[in-house]
Amino acid sequence: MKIEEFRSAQRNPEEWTPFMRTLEYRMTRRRRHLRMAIAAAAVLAFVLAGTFWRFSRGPESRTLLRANVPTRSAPAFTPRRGSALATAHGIVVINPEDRT
Amino acid sequence: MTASFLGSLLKKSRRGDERAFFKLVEATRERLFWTARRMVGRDSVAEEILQDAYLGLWSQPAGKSPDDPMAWLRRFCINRAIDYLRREETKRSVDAPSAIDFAPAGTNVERNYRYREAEGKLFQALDLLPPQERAVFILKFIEDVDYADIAEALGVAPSTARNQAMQARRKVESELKAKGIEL
Repeated sequence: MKIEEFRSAQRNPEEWTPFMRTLEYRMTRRRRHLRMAIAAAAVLAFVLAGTFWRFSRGPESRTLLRANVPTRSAPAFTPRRGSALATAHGIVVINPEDRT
Repeated sequence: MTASFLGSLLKKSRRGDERAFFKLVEATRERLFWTARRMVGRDSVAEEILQDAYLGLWSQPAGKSPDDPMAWLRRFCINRAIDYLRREETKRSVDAPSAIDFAPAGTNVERNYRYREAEGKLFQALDLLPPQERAVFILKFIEDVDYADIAEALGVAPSTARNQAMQARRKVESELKAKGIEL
């Protein structure tokens, strides 16, 4: 027996059918996973960009004090901290810590 | 099948031509299967290694496509088979080869029987070799691969591959001689 004779081994062509089918299936599955990963990465990037945009803006103007002040009948009231006076120009808040 | 032809098939498949990739598989699968099969001794494991090799090649990033897909695939299969042998060294058993699988074309029944018998004994002798020597022996003496390509596949110097091949051949010959088979 010459060792070179082992070189001539051949598989039955029909044996390759399930192999090729499995390979095709695994390729399709991998492609689908890749697409899903790309879509997930895009969604994540979109969410991150939105969050960054939301929190990277400068300080907003916020209403600190909102009240219907019956100036004629009750010209003064006490807010959460300090006190406020209704004047002809608007409401003046006097914080007790600012008093000198 | 030349490296440039296989390389062009791979390039086509990179551009979305899936049929080109399957042509590449059809052109290389037989040879790679037997390389892996001779290494691990099991059809199912050889097929699994081959599946992983093709998926690995197919998933390579476009910029990293190998110029010689056959060399890349062979390297992948050999290294995966060596890993498998190292893991399974103690519990491995060889599948009984079937007459249809192994019979060279145009042989008669008696010759088939002798072939199967010798093949089984050769595998038993190969079992005695360390995984890397086994790979060198199979690539050099059964598949007639150049030492330079063997060295590249195994990541060793060509002189190392040559020494390992000679050492492996001596071991296999003495083992087979003890069983009454001359190579």
